[in-house]
Amino acid sequence: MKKARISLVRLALAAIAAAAAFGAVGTSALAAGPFDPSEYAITGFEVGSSDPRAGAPSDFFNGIEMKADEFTKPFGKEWITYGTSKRLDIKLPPGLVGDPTAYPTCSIERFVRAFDSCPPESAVGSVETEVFGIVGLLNGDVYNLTPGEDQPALFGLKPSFNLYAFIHVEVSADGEITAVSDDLPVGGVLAWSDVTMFGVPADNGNPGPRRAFMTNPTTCASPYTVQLDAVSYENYTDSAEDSEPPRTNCEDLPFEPSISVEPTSDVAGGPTGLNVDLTVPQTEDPDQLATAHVKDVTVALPEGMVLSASSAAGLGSCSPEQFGYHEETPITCPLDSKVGEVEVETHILEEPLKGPVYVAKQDDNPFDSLIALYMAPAGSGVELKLAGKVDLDPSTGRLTSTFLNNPQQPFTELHVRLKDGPRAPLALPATCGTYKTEADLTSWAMPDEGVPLSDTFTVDQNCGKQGQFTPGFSAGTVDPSAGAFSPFTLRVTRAENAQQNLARIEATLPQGLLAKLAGVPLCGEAEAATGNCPAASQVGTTTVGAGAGDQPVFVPQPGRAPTAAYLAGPYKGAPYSLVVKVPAQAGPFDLGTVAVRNALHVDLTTTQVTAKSDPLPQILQGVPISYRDVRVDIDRPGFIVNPTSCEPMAITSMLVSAAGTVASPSDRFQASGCRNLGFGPKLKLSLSGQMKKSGNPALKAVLTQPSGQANIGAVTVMLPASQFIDNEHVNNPCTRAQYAANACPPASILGTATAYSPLLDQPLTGNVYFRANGGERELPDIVAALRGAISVDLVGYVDSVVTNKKKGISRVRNRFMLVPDAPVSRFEMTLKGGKVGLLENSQNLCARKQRVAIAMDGQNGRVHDTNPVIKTSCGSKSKGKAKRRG
Amino acid sequence: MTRIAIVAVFLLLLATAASAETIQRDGARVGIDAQLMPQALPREGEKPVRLRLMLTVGAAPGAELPRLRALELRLSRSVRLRPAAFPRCRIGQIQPSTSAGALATCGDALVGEGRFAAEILLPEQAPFPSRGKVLAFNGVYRGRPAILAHVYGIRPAPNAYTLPFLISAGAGGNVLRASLPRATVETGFVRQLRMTIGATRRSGGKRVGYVSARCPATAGSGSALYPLARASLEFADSAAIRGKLMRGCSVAGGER
Repeated sequence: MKKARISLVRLALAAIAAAAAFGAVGTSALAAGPFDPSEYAITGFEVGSSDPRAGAPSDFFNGIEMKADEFTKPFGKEWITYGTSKRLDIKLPPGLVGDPTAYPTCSIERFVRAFDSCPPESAVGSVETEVFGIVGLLNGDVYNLTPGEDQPALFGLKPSFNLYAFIHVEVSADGEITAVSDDLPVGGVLAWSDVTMFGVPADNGNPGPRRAFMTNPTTCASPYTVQLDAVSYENYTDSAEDSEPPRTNCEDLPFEPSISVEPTSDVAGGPTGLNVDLTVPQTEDPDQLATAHVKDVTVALPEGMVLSASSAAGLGSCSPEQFGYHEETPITCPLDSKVGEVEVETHILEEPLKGPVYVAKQDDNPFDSLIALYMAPAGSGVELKLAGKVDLDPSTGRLTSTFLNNPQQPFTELHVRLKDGPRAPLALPATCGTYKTEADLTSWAMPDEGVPLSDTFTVDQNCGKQGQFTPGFSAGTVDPSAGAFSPFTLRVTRAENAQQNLARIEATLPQGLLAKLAGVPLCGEAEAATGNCPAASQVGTTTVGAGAGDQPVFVPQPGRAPTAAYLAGPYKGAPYSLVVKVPAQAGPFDLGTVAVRNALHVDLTTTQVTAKSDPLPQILQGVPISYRDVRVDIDRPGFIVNPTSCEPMAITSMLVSAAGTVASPSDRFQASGCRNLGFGPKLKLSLSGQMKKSGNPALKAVLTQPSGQANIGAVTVMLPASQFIDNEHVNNPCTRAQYAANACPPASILGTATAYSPLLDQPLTGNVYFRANGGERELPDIVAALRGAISVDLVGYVDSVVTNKKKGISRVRNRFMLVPDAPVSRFEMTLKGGKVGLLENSQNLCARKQRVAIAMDGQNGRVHDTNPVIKTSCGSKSKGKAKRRG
Repeated sequence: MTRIAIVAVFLLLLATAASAETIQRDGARVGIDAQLMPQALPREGEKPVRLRLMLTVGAAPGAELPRLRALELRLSRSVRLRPAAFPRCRIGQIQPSTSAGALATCGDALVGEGRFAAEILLPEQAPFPSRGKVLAFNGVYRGRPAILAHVYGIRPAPNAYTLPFLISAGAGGNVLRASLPRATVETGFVRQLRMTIGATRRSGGKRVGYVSARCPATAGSGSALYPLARASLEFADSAAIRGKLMRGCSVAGGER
């Protein structure tokens, strides 16, 4: 390259997208030979363009000069060179585009001919060079050659009839173009070369149609920089760079994209694929500026169109190493990470680029995001690697995908097809209607001015389901044998994804369906909040199916973290709680561990257990959890115990939807084999203290029952006729409000009671109160307030039975009609005597034996009636003094 | 003569018409009645009679039921009680017991009987009635002569209660006074007390009545209208109600 000439040449010539290098074939000019190959160097490199405007058809010029020294010999001058160029790589400015499809191509076979070479219609540039050993300036054309199958473009430089070189185009994964001239002939040593690729070859003698060939970048933000890397056969390298100022007139570039977004389904709430078609019309008139290249694409799907959890089943992901983003490595993403396909149509290639769309590995992707997509459109020797981030609105799950800094290349159509079917990645809104997708595109020309786009689609199938909430419910023990331990299963299903989502589960077990809490260590409060409970407190597992369509994804998945249900302590006013731990791991996603706490309320009177769940998470990291199947299996051995009543009962529920709708399905429950259970509890009563007439004796009742029998259902005790209710001691019952506030007056405390159950580690114990009942019965009740791990109120009704109408004799009766269906090994109740004694002797108890009538009903229907003598303290030294009046 | 006879008949009719006194005050509506049977009495001397007492306690519409705290009956001087002439019973012997039990223990001291009705209201409970038979025993309460009104009820549970009517000698005549214990007043609303007292026994060959009376007719008159009793009822939450029970009598045997 003659430095002095370059500026002139630059004016005259135009730049070319591909750089030029060439080699000589046949006779080559000889220089003095390499003097010192290590001094191989580029001494001159200049680039230029004929039009500074962005997107303008413009000649691209580059001039290269290699190091050589001239010295004088006796017979004249000679050149000393420093190595022979083997490969020249010219990395073009981003966005500089050549369109090899705009002009006819010439076959290599014809190109290499000395005569009858390529036709002038295939000439797209010019070359001027000087090669050592060949006298004189050489110049010729640059031809558009027929590329190989894996080549996007191939050019041939032919400065003379028998001298040529090839330039092939390499497109990086990021879309950057490098013009490569490799394996240059060793016979000729390049001194310098000036290559021009024409903006409009027809304007430079090409007889073909007038079309743009080289087009300037469409950005005005960065300099027009070209880099040259040279390698010698002696393995020495050198690099050079030259720039022109950034392009101008970006505001004049046309940019009128449009978008079409269409789900592959129109079923409300159902899974769907997605067809996204982005159209960017390209100008074809060489007298106009080219369409600006697309820089950023943001597509926000309509609210309600969300990620379908069902898609996670069987889905894989692609790691950065496998995809090789920004790297020229082969893509080795696993097949199961493919969720769609992409196709790019560009006018500068004969065939569209096609490739897969992969799901990137969660949190290990270019965006460190939950979800990212990789796209790898390929063809004609080009394999682009695009990466886009998918943002999920944490509260609505709305999906917004963003592909930033796309390659500065033109395309007319971009089609993305996300797969269809039950495992489709998306789910349609649950409500029918018309939905709008919003997009925003920016160009490299005007990166700060987005072009808003939108498209609508309609969901109009399965509309009748919207707003409904008719969940299925089943529950029961695996083995219904009365009094036996058995695993328990509860299941809630939601058949239609279009229906309202499940938000809360409340289930009430039948009376007697209890758990043996004894021996089960509780999960600590801090651990319960996170679900990281000790294994010893585990009592079961859970299975959760979620997602759209008829093939939801189920957690836990094989090989992933297991679920668990743990027993924990008091929660929200309940004595116990169940911590249901669900690692939200499905497919390639790990949405964290969900711990849902369920308060286990125990009915004060019946000990019926009601489990009230905390709100189920509706969305995790922006992924809506559309519950389809929730199962809880309480299968710890020896934990759940069946009732000993075989009456038909039900497991009832209150299921609340996310919209607040309540459904109350229930499942029948009935234990079996009750008749096989024996029933023979023993109840001993004794009166002590004041034994004389008008005295107030103390009463003690001790009930014992062996294990394995039916539990007690009711106990009626009819005291001897000698026992009256003392009028003066009935005046201070505890009101219900006082009782609820645990503020009963001392005078209402009649005594104490203690119950021992094999289900509990510690006995329940507490005061016995005389408690008002609001008038349901004439006299207040006797209530044993048993407290401990759980609270139980054993309520006894006080009344009388006329046993001798003629004599007007009635007997005080105390009936415990609602005894919980729970095993009790021992129960003690003591009613105080004396000043606060409720009972009053109408005769001296020592005068005759006092008998009590006891009727006990088993939960299994068996009865056990006795009429024992009450033990008294007559004869003991510690007789109480009878109360005297008058 | 004829005129006198007409006046006597008129007075008797008047006494009959006034046989049930109903007094309403501060929302309390109280009915008090006392009768001597028979009404034909000697002008001089005394004759065993039965004293029939009846008390009803109610409330005016919209008012709360008043809680009777004490009852006092000042009898006319023409009426006399003779507790000393009859066997006596201690309250401890009959409290608590069934009616049959009380009779078995103190049957000799039985001087009357009747019925009792009250309404029991325990905190936060619906009021429920308490009814029972009243057996009136001649007795002693705290060292003083008394009529022990023993009440036995079986609903809602067997219970017994004895209300002592203390007998004292007032300026005019005998006074019967009963005070309900505070605990009873708090929860019990006496609705009705009906009691007839009037036992007789032979003493020294003479027939002695637990209650005896004469007709305070003036000489020459065959009948009289006189204040048989002055009743006073005290309530826990309202003013006392007092009334004078004017009753008539005729002179036995047609004396003038």
